[in-house]
Amino acid sequence: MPPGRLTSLIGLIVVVWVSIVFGLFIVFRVIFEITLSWQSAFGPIIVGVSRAVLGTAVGLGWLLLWWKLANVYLWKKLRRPE
Amino acid sequence: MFCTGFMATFLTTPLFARMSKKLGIAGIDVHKIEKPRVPEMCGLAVTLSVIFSAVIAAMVFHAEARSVLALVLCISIAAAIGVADDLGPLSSRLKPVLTTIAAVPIIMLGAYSPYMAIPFLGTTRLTIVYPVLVVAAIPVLANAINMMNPFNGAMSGTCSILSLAMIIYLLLLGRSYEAILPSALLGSLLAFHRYNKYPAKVFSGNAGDLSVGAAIGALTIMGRIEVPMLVAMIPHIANAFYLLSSVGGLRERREMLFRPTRLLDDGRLDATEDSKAPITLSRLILAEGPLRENEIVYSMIVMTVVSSLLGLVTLFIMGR
Repeated sequence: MPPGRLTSLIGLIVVVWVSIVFGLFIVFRVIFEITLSWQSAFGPIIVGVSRAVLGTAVGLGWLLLWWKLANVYLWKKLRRPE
Repeated sequence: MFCTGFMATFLTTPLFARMSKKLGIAGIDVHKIEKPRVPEMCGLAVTLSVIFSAVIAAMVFHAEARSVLALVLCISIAAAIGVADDLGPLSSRLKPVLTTIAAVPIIMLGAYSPYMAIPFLGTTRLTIVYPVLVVAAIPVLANAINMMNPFNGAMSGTCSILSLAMIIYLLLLGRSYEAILPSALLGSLLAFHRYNKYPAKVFSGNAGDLSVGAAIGALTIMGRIEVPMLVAMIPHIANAFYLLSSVGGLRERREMLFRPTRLLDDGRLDATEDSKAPITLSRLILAEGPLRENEIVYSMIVMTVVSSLLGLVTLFIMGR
């Protein structure tokens, strides 16, 4: 097997890992720290719902990113010269 | 325990191969030009060796009886589902549902800790959520391992790396005692790899794949190394995710009309260019050009080594 053939696939794994670590940082250090600056009876509910929605958005973002990456990689490499 | 697992599998795999041949339980090796028939379900040798080693560990090393019993029941249930699938194929939707049963012993026996370490958050108490995660994790991991095994030695090779990674993580965490059972799994898988590697003399079958996947899941939960192991399993999880998303849900290999790879006249494999064919890790590996089957498996093993190293980095990020 030619050396370096696996480089881009290993790169893909590293990108997926970075996205997991960065995503977890966003979820637990940014989204989970969200608070309201005003006092309201609905405050805890608004904060809870916002955290859940934003956390889910990060999760869906992960899946979309991985899906796009694999598709772009596959079709770029498959259209190789004969 | 490594030696017990190794020797038990090394000695029993040929017996399983002979028995499968006698009973006519054989699969066709579709990635070879001559299409040889190979004895199936021989992965049960790994299952039984791990069970045997776990019992020895309980007797000799006084390994926690609750954990040993949970592991034994978990992999036995997964193996039974695999046997049912090997003998009379289960529907693509029923198999993952049934594999959730393998998680029940872990929950019922309380062989888990609801304190989960998460990067950037620290240790969190997930009393209600954790059992739900266990029920989800076992079928996901068992079926992800099963989906990664269309090639000779792919399961035994990549899962050996995962077992080794598990042992290293536990040793670094100072929990050498908990590395006893993963050592038995590593020994069994390395012995099985000798027979399963290219050109395969035996196939593990769904019975072997599901039980090894369930064993990795159960040992990850019991060892409390969820996040690093999740990272180590990126190639397996990504393969399952790409496959399921590209075919639009749960489908068995036999139900797929378009194949991700094709066999060339010179015995090498190439990625198909059909847009309807599922995206799999092997198709991504072959996208750059044709390779021999053993080179594809080598690529999968290298990718698992890289993800296991990233799991190690994650462990350090978590500060444990």
